Amino acid sequence: MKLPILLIASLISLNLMAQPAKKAANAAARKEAKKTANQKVPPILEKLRGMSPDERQKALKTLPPARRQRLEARLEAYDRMNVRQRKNVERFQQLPPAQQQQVRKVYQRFNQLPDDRKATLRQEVGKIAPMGEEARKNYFNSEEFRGKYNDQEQQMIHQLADSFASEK
Amino acid sequence: MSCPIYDESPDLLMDFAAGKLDWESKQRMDVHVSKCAICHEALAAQAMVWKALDEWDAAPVSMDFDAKLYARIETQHATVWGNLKSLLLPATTWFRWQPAIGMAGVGALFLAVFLLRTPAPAVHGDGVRMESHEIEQAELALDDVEMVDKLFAESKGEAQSL
Repeated sequence: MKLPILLIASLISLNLMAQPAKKAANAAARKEAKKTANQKVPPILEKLRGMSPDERQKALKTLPPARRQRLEARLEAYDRMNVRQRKNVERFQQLPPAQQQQVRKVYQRFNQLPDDRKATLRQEVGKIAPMGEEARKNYFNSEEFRGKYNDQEQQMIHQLADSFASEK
Repeated sequence: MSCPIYDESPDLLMDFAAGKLDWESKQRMDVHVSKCAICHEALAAQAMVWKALDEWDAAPVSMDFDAKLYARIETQHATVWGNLKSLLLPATTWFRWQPAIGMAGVGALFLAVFLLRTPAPAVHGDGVRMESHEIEQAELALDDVEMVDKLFAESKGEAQSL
């Protein structure tokens, strides 16, 4: 009979003792979350980019060799990106999570298209995304747009152009 | 969204598990949890704890519980000698320490669960520190970077600016 009472009492007292530490941790977490929200590139990539090659090698040395090599190659490719490529990544990074997820889904469908259609769609998105909202809307409703693409392609262009639009 | 565990804000994860989040936050967490193995695992562990608590049946408290308890306290505090004696006698000591042993067992269990579930950080001599979930996050972030690049970069051999 005593055991449950003592258990509950000790859990409550432990919780009370943990309150100040918890508050401080929450405040630090909020501060960090605010800082993260303002960052334009994924913070974890920035952390890796901020390391010297030697530090990076040491930080990743626990990984299996093949995985480590692949990750290092991908990080180098990320380092080599030009300003325009980075800008596209930043735009994606600034989207709300639900919209980021939507772009990922569109990308899966986009990947299944033949290469020539992929190229056409890329050009189209590149043309539409810089348009103003009104112009974009009018273009989506135009015969020209509807005549060039099937329903699935129209939907993909629509979602991508809206997600990466210069003006929303 | 960033990982609540990585950001040291597990309250968000707990609120999500308890269904206390507003619609927008819940949507964000749904998306995050679908990608983040660590949060997924933490939610599964939390569900296990709640299930165990739901299944736990507390013994019913008798009507005269308070009266009996106060009577016992009264008896035990009647003499200092009585208390000392009960602590010194091995058989009584066993009963005295029973709750403590139980508590120690529970504490050891919590500690074991905590140690088993917390991934050991990779700490290196010069202070460079990468935990396994950070590496996973970096790989997920690179997946996104490459996706965006492929969406816009291949047509002319370099990125189209949007």
